[in-house]
Order: sequence, then C-alpha cells, then structure tokens
Amino acid sequence: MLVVAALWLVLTVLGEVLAFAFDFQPVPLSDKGEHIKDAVRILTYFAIPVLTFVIAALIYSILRFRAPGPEADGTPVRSHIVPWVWLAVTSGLAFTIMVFPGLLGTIEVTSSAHQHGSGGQASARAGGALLVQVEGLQWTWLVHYPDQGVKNARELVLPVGQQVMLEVTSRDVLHSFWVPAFMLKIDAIPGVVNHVTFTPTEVSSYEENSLLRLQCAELCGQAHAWMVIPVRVVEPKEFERWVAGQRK
Amino acid sequence: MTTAEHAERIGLWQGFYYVRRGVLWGLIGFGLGVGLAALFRTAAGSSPWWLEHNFAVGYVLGLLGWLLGVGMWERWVKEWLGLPTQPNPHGWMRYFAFTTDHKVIGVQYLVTFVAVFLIAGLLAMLMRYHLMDSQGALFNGGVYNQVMSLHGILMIAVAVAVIIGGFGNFLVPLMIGARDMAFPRLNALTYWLIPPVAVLLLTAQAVGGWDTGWTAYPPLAVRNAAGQLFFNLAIITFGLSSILGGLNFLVTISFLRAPGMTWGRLPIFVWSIFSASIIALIFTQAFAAAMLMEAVDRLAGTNFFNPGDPLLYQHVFWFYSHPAVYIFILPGFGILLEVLTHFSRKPLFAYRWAVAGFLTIVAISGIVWAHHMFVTTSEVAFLGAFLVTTEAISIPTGLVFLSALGTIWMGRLWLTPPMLFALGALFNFLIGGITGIYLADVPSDIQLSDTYFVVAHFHYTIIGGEIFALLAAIYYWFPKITGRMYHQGLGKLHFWLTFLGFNLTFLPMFWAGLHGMNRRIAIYDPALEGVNVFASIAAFVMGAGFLIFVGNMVWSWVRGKVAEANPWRARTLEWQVPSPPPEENFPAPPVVVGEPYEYGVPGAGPHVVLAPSGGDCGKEV
Repeated sequence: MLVVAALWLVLTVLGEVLAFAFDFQPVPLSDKGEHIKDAVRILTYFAIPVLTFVIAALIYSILRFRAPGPEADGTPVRSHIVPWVWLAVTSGLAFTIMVFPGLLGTIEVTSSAHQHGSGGQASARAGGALLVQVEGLQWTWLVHYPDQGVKNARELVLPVGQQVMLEVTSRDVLHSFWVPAFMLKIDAIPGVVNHVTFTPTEVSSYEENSLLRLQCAELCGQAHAWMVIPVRVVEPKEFERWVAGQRK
Repeated sequence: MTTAEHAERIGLWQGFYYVRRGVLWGLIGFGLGVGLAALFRTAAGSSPWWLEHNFAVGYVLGLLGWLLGVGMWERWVKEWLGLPTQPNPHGWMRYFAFTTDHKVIGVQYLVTFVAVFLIAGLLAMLMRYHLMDSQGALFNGGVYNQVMSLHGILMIAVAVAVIIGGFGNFLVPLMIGARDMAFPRLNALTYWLIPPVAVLLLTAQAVGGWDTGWTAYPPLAVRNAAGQLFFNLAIITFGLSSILGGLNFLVTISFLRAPGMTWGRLPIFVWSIFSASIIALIFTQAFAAAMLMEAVDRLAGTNFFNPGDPLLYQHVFWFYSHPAVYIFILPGFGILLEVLTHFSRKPLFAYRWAVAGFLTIVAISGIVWAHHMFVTTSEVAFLGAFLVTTEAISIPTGLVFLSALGTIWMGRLWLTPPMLFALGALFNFLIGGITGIYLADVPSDIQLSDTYFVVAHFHYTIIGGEIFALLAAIYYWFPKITGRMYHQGLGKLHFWLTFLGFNLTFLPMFWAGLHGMNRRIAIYDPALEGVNVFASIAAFVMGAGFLIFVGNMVWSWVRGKVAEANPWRARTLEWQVPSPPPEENFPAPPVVVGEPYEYGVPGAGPHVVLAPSGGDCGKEV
C-alpha cells in the first residue's frame, strides 16, 4: 500500500512538472484562444493524478502479485468503506471540473455571443466590434465586411487588437469555421447564423504560421480537405489599405 | 460422434444449400420488387426506372426472399401455415443456415464480425498509408472520403454486434443455466439480417458510395450519390437486428435464469449484456428513425432535413449514437471484470457497485448526446447542461475501475493472453476516458472537436477498450467454443504487438489534433507529416499482430491440441459443461447454490450443482 502511494506520488509530481514546464499546445492568437488553451492545461493538471493513480496500482499489482498458474487463490478483499470513499472522491473531482474549468470557462468563451436575439450582439456592436460575415459553400469560404463594403473576399483579414463579431453561415451543406491559431470553431449551418466574438492578439499570417488558416472542420464532400483560405492579422492601418484595395 | 460423421459426408455444394437458396429467393424477390416499382412508376405517368425507387422496393422484397430461403421457411413460417417445421441441420452445415441453437448463432456472429473487423482494419491500413504523405499518397479526395466512411461504418457495426451477438449469444444461456435464448427463432433472424447489410454497404461502392462518414449528416447526405440510400437501408436493417437482439437478451436474462441464479449471483458479464441490451432496445429506434427520415427525404420528396432542419437530424442521430458507445463498452467492461476476477483468483471486488455503475451509465447515457454538438451553437444553457451530464457519467464509469483495481489487488495474477488483454483494455480505457473529459469540457472542445484528438479518443475507447476486451474474451473462451487450445506464446506476442502498436499509433494523434489536424481529411498541414508517418508505421505493427492472431486461431481451431474441459479452473457455469457444449447445454437443469467468484473464500461451496441427484430439485424446475 505504501509502495503504491509512493509510486503514485512520484509519478504525479513528475507528470505535473512536465505538464507545467512543457508547452504541449500551439500559441493561441486570440483572446478566447487563451481561455481555451488554459482549459486544456487545467484539465491536464486534474487528469494527471487520476492517470498516475491507476497506473501506479496496475504496475505494482502486476509486479507484486503475479503467479505462474491457478494453483493458489488470492486473498479475498472486502470493504464497505473503500467504495464510499472512492465514490466521494471521484464525485468531488467530477463536480469540481464541471464548475471549473467547465461552466465558468463556458461562460467566458461564449461571452457577448451567448444571448440569442439582439442583446449580446448589440452590445458587441455598440462596443465597436468589427462585423465580419463568413459564408461556407462547397468548397471554399467567402468573407464579407458589410460596414466596409467589402464582399466575397477569399482571405480573412483582421486588424490586430480589434474586437471582431463573426456571423457564420452556409449556402449549401454543413461546414465548420475553424481557425486553429484562434482556437475557435463554430459550425456553418444553412439557414442559421451563428455568432462568435473574439479579438485577434498578434500580427501574423498564414505564410508565417500555418495554423492561421480558415479551414472547414465538418465533412462536406469531395474537396473538404481543400476547403482552406488564408488568415492574416494586420495593423489597423494595413487593414484600412486592404479594405481600400478590395473596394476597387 | 455423429457430428463428425456428418461433417465428413456433407459436400461443399450440399453444405451451402441454404445460403444458395437464400441468394436465389432473394434475387427473385429483388426482381419482383424492381418490377413492381417500375409498374407503379409507369402507372403514375413517369419513366419506369429510377435507381433509388426501384432499388428500395427491390431491397425490401429481396430481404424477405433471402430470409425465407436461408431457412426461415422450414423453421418458422411453415408453422404459421399449419405445415410441419423441420429441425436444425447438423454438422458444419448448421453454421450456414437459419439455425436456432444460440451457440451456433454466437459463432456465426463472432466469425462474421471478426472477418468484418479485419476488412475494416485493412481499409485503416490503406488510410494510414495514404496519410504518410501530407498531400495524400494513394487516393483523391472523393475516394478517401469513401474509404474512410466505409471503414467507419464497418467498425461501428463490429463494435455494436461482435460482443453482444458473439459472446452474448454463446455465453448468456450457458452462464445463467438456460437451455437456449427465450426466442430462438428471433435470435436466428437477428443474425441473418446481417449479411444483407454487408452486401448493401459493399454494393453501395458501385453506385458512387457515400462520403458522409458513418454519421451521414444532411444536407450532404440527402444530396450525394445513390450509395447513400444503400447506406440508409443497411442501417435500418442493422438497427432492426439490434433492437430484436436487445429484446431477446432482456427477456432471456429476466425469465430463464436457473433455479438459485438470483440477480445478485449473475456473472458480471451477464449484467453487462443486460445493461447494453436496455440501450439497444430503447435507443436504436431513434437511429433507425433518423435513417428512415433521411431515406424518405430522398425517395418521397419530404423535407425533414433538406433543407428542413439539419440540426434536428444531429439531435435524433446522437440520441442513439451516444448511448450506442455504451452498447460497445459495457460488454467490454463485463468481459474485463470477468477475466480479471478469474485470473486474479479472487472474488470480484465491489460487485454490486460495478452493477450499479453499469445501470447508472445506462440511465445517464440518454441525456448526454448533445456534447457531439458543442460547436453548433453558442447557446450557453445548452452547452452548460450537456457539459454537466457528460462529465457526470465519469462517476459510474469510475466504479468499474474501482471494481477492477480492487479485484487485482492482493490477487494471484496469472498473466495468460486473456489476462494481458484485459489489463491492456483497462489501461487503454483509462486514457480514452480521461481524454473524454477534454471533449466534454466546452472550452477545450471548441478547439478539439472534429480533430484527431477526437479520433484518438474514440479509438482508445473502442479499439483500446472494447476490442481489447473482445480479444481477451476470444483468448479466454476459445477452448470453450472450439474444445481446443491455441498457442499461448503466439497469443502473448499478439498482445505485445497490438498493445504497443496501438498506443504508438493513437497517442501521437492526440498531439496532431492539438496542433491543428482535423479529422476526415485527405490532405493536411505538411508540418504534421512526421507525426503521421510515425503513427502509420505503428499502425502497420499493430496490423502485423493481427496476422499472427488469425494464423494462431485458424490453425488451433483445426489442428490445435484438445483443451481440458476447464483449463482456467474457473468457477462459473459455462466451464462446468463439456467443451464445446452439447446442443442441449445441460443434461438436466442446473441448480445454482453459491456465488460465482468465491475464489479463496474459506468455506465457500461451488457455484452450481449439475444434474442434481435429488428428485426435489428436478421438480422445482
């Protein structure tokens, strides 16, 4: 029992140190992406002791209790208290992660887009968010900037530090808006307009970072894997120039 | 042995009599249906031929013809007409006919679905080869989607039916001390509905296949090639088989337990089949309904989903398809605990807690479906509710781990091939379960849904959990089913190749998913080529392990040395009868007098008394 506890402790410390020191995720380039990356990291901190507990018990049991055949029987173990303790601990853990990072994180990543109707969107617009409409169709994306008068752009260009409100929809079948670097995904559904609000945090482009791409994440037919357009995050002045160029 | 004599006398042509006749009657029915549809279309003033209409009607009549021809006629329908029915055929011929013996049906299921598993595995090897090049090494986009879709649905079919249909049928009546299933003919029907499903899925490839994965999301599924209709008809048929099978198990386990086999003495494997059957009976109907609505959209111009409401389809579809994953894994848990207790030579720890865990999983499974739809909306009430229910299901699942770890603790672990696979399944499912939490958590799922993280997660639960448990079961009950023993060393080699190959294939996929590789794509970011090449090579190692498995099993079944009646010294009922068990299972109804797993318990009596000598017990039955 003590050996298992010691093994568990060592593995857990090792695992937590690794998870803390080693960045196993890409750098998020949006404010919401930061929250999402944190959620994955926090869940990993919770997961490690669970993982190492079972592994420690398994390794110890296999090494310590192995036998060459069925000649002798093991020692029956019965306990009334252990299952109750187990239930209490696992339930406690489950309820904890439901609240944090679960529900609290959910509120954060859906903020200013979570109220149906006009409330949330209106507040985002009042706050000066840039409205961008993204439309999926087999097999490309069209990007519209209604307030700038830009239609049917074939790349997603956004000014850095400026809040963006996306309206995502589809013309034909299901698609899904996904920019891996922003860590944001929302389905494009015909007849439905989905909203996401976020702020790009760093200037970069698809050429520099292959995760800055708008890729379809919902199987949509033959050329699904090719349904990708580049994403570029630029300085506000560069954005103005790009808009002016598009209008011509 | 009369069986052996028969086996020698039955020629190939004669042996396949029922299958031949089934195909013939099926073709006649199909032709009739095609003709009737053409007639109706002509009467309605349109051209007589439209592939989907003619085929749909042809399929329904063809299915009937097939079932009657393969033996339902002699062993079922004749009785309705007041004619005498005929008994089951003998020898190896009985495996190729509509037969009511649950053990024959179990073997039919098991062999069929292991074969399907190997075919779908071969498709996986092709996909892994294709993905060794980030621009795709083998297929164009359309063909890749088709191959991926076929791999998906074949493996799902295996996962649904291989353990319940195979080991459930073979073992449940033996383990509870029954003569057969409650509805033996219904049981035969559930199996013989399966070959048409396979034929449909394969012929679909000839009419354009379908490229919507196994999930068949509309509107795409309503718009693409005619292969989609074949898919829908196949799934409806398969669903019917599942529903009837679930019903049969529930009735059998509820009413045909031997005297003394109380619910509290039921082997844990039987409990797991019972739990999975509840899900199969209740939820499969939603899946079949979704497929039917999609088919009617195509055939009869309705507008459920085109454009209708594509999200409605996802709700109905996942309302079954999430509980379905518990149809996969619950029997896997049952096998895992069964094998762990016999090979630890200890009573199953926290038996009642494990049963409570199974039943709680069944209860919660119906209200978690929408976690597959976290990126369809930003509606926070929707997201929050399903996050909570989904994470709650980890609590009853934890009880299975409690039971498993408590059972091996202080045991005497005999590391045979079945034990290795059971321990491997426990480890793999641990990773599958923990990574499931990341997908149940809304914020992390926004990034991870529809990526290789999901691919890795569900392969860890289905292959790593259920299929490892299946392999444990095959190695454990092989001597029971065949009466012969396999080569233990090759079994262990198979384990190590599969275990290492499996983990090295799918662990890197978590990484690929975290770094922006989405699922179901024929080409991907070249930055991830290294990870993919690594995963592919590991997959080939895993594939090689299965070649050893097939060789070992086929050779041992034909030529292996004769096994002892109870080579594992197990206490449960199925090991107390000869191997393979006689057709009638027990000479006289057995009487259950004790707990099934009392290894090492001082003063514990046997689990069961066979052929009771006292007349009283006989009368009780």
